[in-house]
Amino acid sequence: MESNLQQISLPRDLCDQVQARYVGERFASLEELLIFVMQALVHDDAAQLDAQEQAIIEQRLHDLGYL
Amino acid sequence: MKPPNLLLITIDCLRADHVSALGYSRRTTSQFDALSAGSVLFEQAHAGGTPTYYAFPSILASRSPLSWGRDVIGLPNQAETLATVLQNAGYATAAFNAANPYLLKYWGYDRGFETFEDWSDGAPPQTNAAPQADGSASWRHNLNRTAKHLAHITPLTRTLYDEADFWYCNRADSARYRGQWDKAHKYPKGDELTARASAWLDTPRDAPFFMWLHYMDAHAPRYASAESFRGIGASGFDDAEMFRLNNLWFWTSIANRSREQLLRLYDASIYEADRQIGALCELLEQKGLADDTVIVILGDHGEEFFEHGGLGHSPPKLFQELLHVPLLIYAPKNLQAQRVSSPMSVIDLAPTLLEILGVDAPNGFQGTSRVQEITSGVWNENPMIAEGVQRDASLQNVKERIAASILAVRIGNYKMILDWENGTEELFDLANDPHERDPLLLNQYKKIRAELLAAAREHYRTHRTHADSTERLQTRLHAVKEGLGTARVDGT
Repeated sequence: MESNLQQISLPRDLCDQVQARYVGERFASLEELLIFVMQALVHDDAAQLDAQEQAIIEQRLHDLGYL
Repeated sequence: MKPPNLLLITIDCLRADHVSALGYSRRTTSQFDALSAGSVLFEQAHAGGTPTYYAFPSILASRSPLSWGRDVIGLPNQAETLATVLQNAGYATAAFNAANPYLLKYWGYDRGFETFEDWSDGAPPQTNAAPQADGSASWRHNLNRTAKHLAHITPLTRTLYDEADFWYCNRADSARYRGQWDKAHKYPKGDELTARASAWLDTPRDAPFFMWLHYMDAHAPRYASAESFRGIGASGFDDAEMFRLNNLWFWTSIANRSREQLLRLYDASIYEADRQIGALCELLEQKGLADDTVIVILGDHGEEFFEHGGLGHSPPKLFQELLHVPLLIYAPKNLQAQRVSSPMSVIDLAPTLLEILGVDAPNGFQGTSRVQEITSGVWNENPMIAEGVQRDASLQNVKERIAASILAVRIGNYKMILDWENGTEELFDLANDPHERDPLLLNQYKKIRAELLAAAREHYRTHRTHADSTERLQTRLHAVKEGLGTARVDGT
């Protein structure tokens, strides 16, 4: 079966620092934390696009005198 | 009293105006037509989005396709769906998807189903453009790409190149399959799906059941039987000719010349899918389940045959040939047979079905039940919204997914398509221009334009809130902890 995972390389000392500070209560592993951060980044981009599109609609309604 | 069973039949690519019960001149859907006589038949049902991956969140989870964020694909772990709700209500649940790559377990579509068959091994779906691992076989591809680029500089050389390229590729491909055309079929045929459903129904069970069947017979590549061509009253094609027509899908500039043949093959393929409706109704009769089963049939989205310059259903467009789908609800004990001419979005389907079954709809559903309106005959004109990401031609292409969306808003017969990439609005009066050929002049319809824009604004305020994003991320992390092999991590 084709894997849906990918290996990446990270500086060990950075991993150690993040592991010591953030892994434990909220994140069970460094992988979990990284996935969370990466998905949050992508999701922020998506949310920003929604906000931009909504602003255009509001501007058009304003121009029409409805807002 | 035992609640009724629910049989949900979805047919990929089935557009409403090719269904004979909805006025099509060819008799493509005799089984659908027969069932519709005792059903609530919606003449103006709309998909929540197109293609399949933007259509199904509305059908199964009563959600606007982008409501979880345009980065989310498939059904996220916390999504409440018809299947999860009915499973919690004590229903036995089963789904059989004829291998549509966007409705796999991999994308979360198995949630709430005890039995889920999608003819996959759980791996990510294959992409069309897998890079060569060692580069050794790519020189031919690169040469061809360069030649294509150069040939497309002038119209004449472009035409010559495309004709030659199609002739060469079709010849090479068909040589591979000659004498074994079955191997060119991409998806399991409807008969196979129905047989699986029949076997599952053979198991005696006390609980009511919810079964979802997704048929791919009307989806390209299409291979219809001689019987199906006879059924629609048209002359047929042999396997080699159907193979050629299916290959045309990748050469749309040439395909337009064969439009009549492509439509004939499409209609015969619809006939193939429609046969399964008859087979399933017969099965329910044989097994003594017919009187206790609510049946729902719909197309997930339509199909374009050059009405707006394209062929197929990807990347997303929101014209009627892609959004207008057939929909019927057969529930003779609950709803009087009737034809409904008011527009109905499929986002309202799941809550409507739950009310018929006597099960409460969850808070996560964004649609509303229309049972009251069906019963009273008095319909509210709710705005209908459909959406997608404009350039998104494949779920695997993350770059194209995090991009401008496209939105259609319809109130009554007025429909607006908002294209955020190009910044355009197109306004149509579907009563006078059902094929959306002549956009209205915006400055002459300011009030209607404002009503539609206000509906779009409300849609963004209520359906694209991102309020559940943290929960969504947390549940994904939970999935990762449960087993890395089944975790869905975007872009990997």
